[in-house]
Amino acid sequence: MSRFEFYNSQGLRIDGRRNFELKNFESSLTTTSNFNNFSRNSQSSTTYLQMGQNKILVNIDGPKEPTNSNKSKIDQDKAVLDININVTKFSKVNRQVSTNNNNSPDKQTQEWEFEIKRLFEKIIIMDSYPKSIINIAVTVLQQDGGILASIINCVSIALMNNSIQIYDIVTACSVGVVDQMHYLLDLNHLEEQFLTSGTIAVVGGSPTQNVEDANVCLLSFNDIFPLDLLDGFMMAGIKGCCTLKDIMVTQVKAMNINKLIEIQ
Amino acid sequence: MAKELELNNTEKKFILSLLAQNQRLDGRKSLIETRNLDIKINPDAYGDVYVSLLTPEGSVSTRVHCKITADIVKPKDKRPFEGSFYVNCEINGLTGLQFENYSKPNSMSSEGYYTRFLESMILRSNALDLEQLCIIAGEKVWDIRLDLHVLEYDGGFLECASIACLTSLLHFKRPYVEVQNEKIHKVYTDLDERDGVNLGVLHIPIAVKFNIFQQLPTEELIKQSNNTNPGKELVAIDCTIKEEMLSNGEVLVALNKNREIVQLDKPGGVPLQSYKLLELANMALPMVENITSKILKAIEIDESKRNEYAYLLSAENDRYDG
Amino acid sequence: MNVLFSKSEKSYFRESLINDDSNQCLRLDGRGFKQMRTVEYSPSFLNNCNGSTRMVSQDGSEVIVSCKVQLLEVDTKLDEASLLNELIQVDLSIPSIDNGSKLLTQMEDVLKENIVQHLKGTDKLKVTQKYSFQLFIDILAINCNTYPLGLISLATHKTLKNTLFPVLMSQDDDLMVEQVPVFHDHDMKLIEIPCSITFVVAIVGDNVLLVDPSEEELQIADNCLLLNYIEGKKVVGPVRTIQFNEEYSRSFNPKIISEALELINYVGEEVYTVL
Repeated sequence: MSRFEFYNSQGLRIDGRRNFELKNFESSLTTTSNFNNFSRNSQSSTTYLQMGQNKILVNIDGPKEPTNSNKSKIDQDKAVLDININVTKFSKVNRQVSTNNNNSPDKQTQEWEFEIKRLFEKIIIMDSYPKSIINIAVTVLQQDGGILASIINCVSIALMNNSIQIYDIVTACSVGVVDQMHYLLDLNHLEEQFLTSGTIAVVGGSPTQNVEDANVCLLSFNDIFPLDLLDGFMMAGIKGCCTLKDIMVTQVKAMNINKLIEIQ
Repeated sequence: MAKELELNNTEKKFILSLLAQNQRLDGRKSLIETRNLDIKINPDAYGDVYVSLLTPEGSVSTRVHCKITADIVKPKDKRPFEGSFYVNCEINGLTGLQFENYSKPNSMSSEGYYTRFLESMILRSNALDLEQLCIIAGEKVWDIRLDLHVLEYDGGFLECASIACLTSLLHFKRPYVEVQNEKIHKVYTDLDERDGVNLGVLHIPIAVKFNIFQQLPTEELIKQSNNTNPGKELVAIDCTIKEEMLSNGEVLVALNKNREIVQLDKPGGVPLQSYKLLELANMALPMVENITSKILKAIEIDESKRNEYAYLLSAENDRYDG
Repeated sequence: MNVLFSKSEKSYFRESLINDDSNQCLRLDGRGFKQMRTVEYSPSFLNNCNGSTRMVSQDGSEVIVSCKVQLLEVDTKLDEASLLNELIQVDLSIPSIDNGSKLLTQMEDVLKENIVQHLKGTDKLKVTQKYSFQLFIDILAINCNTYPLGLISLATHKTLKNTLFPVLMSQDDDLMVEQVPVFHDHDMKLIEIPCSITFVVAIVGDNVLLVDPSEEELQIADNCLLLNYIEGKKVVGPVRTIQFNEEYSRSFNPKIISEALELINYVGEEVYTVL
């Protein structure tokens, strides 16, 4: 089916990982609160996530009172979520020139915006921020496969960093299938291009939990794929998400302790 | 600004309590019962299809019109051997006033999302063989454009639209093209002169949408993940627009009858346990098989009507053994 | 940007800057008059690009600059100026400002001019007789609270300093023989692209000059000067003025320009040594 051998007999992938091995996950927080200044935006912070070669910045503004332009959107009982994804022109190896000149996002990006908005509307405790708006701006600086999963992870970390109340942590992971028998986690762009692949997001997964009970909150699957393999596909994805949650929690804790030390 | 559809609290409660009792507002007896399907093919043209969903009383609730047009264009530089396929979906004030205004021009509405789902369902799974649409490599290919018009809307857009798309793709005939010396010699646009060519439809994906109604507050749903008590959420198929407005999440599944998932999307919404997702995907399979046979039957009936007098011209005769 | 201050706030800002006793003058964020805001930067952090920099300033503004190099077949009929115009492409985007606004175009022009000006008469981008490197400089300013040109030009300068170019393996004279240039697989070399740094200087009152003004200071400044500095040549032209408010804007004494030049000569040198 494909020209490449994605999974060799020694159980190694083209980038040297094992099949269930995740990419290097590294998140950091750039916040300006450690500078002593009078700036209005001193609370706003940027979360930077590096998941393998995916590099993503997320900036959360809010919850705040809506400005005039989007006042019509406000809800009396709960917060309104607004998501913007900006995939930069230099994010791929070859520079992308947008075909439409008014800089509107392409269909794929709009689809991601739609999915992520629907996802986090259920995860953020919207009732605790009535009449306000939460702006989430995502910037994709570099992409290397599984970008939707990376965006979800980064938004999830950013929400924690900005102390926005959520029910539980969302983690996402991309999964691919080789030869209808091996499942690969966290794909790179070559694997994504040539394999059947999909993205799965789990809320509040934990390794001790029964895999069948995990709460799947997003599933996106665009390739043709036998129905009977769906089971294995989801199991592999959920396992990945649970591992990722542990990593994420440790990193967020470490990050915020550093922040506290810096402030004091 | 056009007014959006709104439900009052009493009606909301009523519909939800009906659903909890396994009843539907339009008289259907169960959550997994679909409305009756009616496929009408325009007898004067190819690929011109009306698909409607009928309530149990027999009135039309959702109606979609689908028409295919083919054009000869130059292919993209990257893919010189492939034709192109494009789905254009029109939902506007004609369908319902709630579609009149979108809040943000650049963002996607859920109908836009469904249209994209349909397009990629057909393209990414190779349901339509694009290489068959090539006339001269790098020079001339067929561009297939599918126009969807939603005439009446009461939920069930995705099912209706996917059935309409596939029926018209299966039914459409493009004109025969004669090629001589790498040049187009003649295009037989008059189908009476020379019969058209069917499009290469390799398999028939059908989309089904499940709407989820959550029964417990979200917090309990997420925290209480360890006990698998059934009935934590209700899942309904083929929802009307009022039910859709009350639903807390959805799962879109496109399958074909070869037991293959063509596309599966759960765009956010209320979390669902993984075994439940598996159940839903398997539940969709018999429905898809049922719908596929209905489509094929409708096309067969249409075909036999068109060829009513074919036997007079046929050179076939009965043969006897011995 | 576009934060509104009340009249009394503005006059407070202004009065704290203009004072007879220069010891009592204070900037809002406590900086000295010649002090720039602190920046943090991480160079070459995008490996899909030939050069990149991420720079975060004290006030939370963040600038990401990426530089991509492409090979371009040069139309030999073009004169040098229009050729350089073609070879350097600057694309600036700030999410809060829509594309094509005058402010953006003006900043893009300043940045492009900063590079093109110093490339004239050099063959730094030339690969062979027929081919040249084309630079795509994409700039993204996020979370930007004030006029970001100062920060952007700093980041652009830094990016061009660490941009790596592929090494040519084939012959550099291809006028006689038709051939496409071949490059080494992984060996890269550094080409120093000269790029001047633009400093923003706000003028308040008769003799107060503020380097790297904050948004509050822009709102009460009489006028602003954009000055370019490059190593070795000190301050280079052109000098531009720009206004950010309607309330206080007025003309200024030409003598103040020479004062500003001296100031930037001093500040520019310090910045260079730090970078």
